[in-house]
Amino acid sequence: MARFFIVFIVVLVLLFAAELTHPVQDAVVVPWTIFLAKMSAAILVFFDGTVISYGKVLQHSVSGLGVSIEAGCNGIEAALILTAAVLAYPAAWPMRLVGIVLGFIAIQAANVLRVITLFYLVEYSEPMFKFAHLYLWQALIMLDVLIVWLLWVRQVARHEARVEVGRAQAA
Amino acid sequence: MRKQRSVIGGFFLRTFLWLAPALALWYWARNFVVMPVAWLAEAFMRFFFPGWVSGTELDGIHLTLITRLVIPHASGRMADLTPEVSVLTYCYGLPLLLALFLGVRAKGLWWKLPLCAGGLLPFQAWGVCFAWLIPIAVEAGQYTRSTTYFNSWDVNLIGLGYQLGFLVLPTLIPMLMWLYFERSFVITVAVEGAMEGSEPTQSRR
Repeated sequence: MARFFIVFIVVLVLLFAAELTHPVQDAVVVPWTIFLAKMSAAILVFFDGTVISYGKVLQHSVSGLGVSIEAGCNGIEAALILTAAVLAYPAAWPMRLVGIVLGFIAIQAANVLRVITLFYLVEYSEPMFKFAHLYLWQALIMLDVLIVWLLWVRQVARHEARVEVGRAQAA
Repeated sequence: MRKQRSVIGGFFLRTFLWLAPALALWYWARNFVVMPVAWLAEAFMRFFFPGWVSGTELDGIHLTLITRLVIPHASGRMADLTPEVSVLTYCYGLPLLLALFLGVRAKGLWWKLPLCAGGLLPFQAWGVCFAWLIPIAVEAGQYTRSTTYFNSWDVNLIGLGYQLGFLVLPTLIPMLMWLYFERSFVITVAVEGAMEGSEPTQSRR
């Protein structure tokens, strides 16, 4: 357990510090955030044709109201936490890679839901938007990270048990 | 044989359902929740920067740092720099922790929750302190540098500390505390996975 915590903290601080550097911001974080705004707009256009996106902004073209996806709302930090947790847990490298890739997708799926709900909340009620933005969704995204990690831990144990049983049968 | 429901599914459902009332209760008590954090944040600032920190003023959930730093005001006169922070922004880990403990049906909640709430305080105060330091060291850095003596390395560290305190620590620390106290749950999950992994082979025998 102590090893897990130490590796987790070290990897997370390294990943987080790297994320804050200008090259990573320019090459990964900003393009991803813009893509996230475009993806959210592409989903919303099915239901609401007046939604547009430009840069990191998702906006209602009629009312002019919208949201700008800033640091902490692009799911990158949550993905880094999951990555650190996956790398800190004892598992085979292919399993870790699967955990990081599928975990990233799961976190971003929840994050798109966050962006869309916040987009509509800002039009509906400013206090509700603030509450959901600052507290509720922050907690929900972290809960998502924990659940994804637990599912991955179970999958790792399942995979290792199958390998062990296969070896025992072969012997 | 009926398949047993996953422990993760039940945990997620209970945590999800408990999160709303936990957040509501926490928000209702927000003016009290921020008090110990405000006290600790002021103690940290007074300890680390006794030369230019005078004190703090708490108004609801907003905590203002009173400094002896002077910056030019829009009116053309000089003004004291008094950055304000919404303390609650750094405190939402507590209802998440409560929901996680209830989600796993934790034993000894009566001592675990107060202990963890106390353990969260330094990290919450961290967020508040670095949120104050950003306007002081970065936004008004050119005016305050002669008093604070912050160099470019310090400013970078303050930036990192702020980002950690704002984006990561409020939810990560409760999660790690939960993981430490409820590590048996992770073991249960792993055992469940291992048993599922060996099931098909057993059924073929």
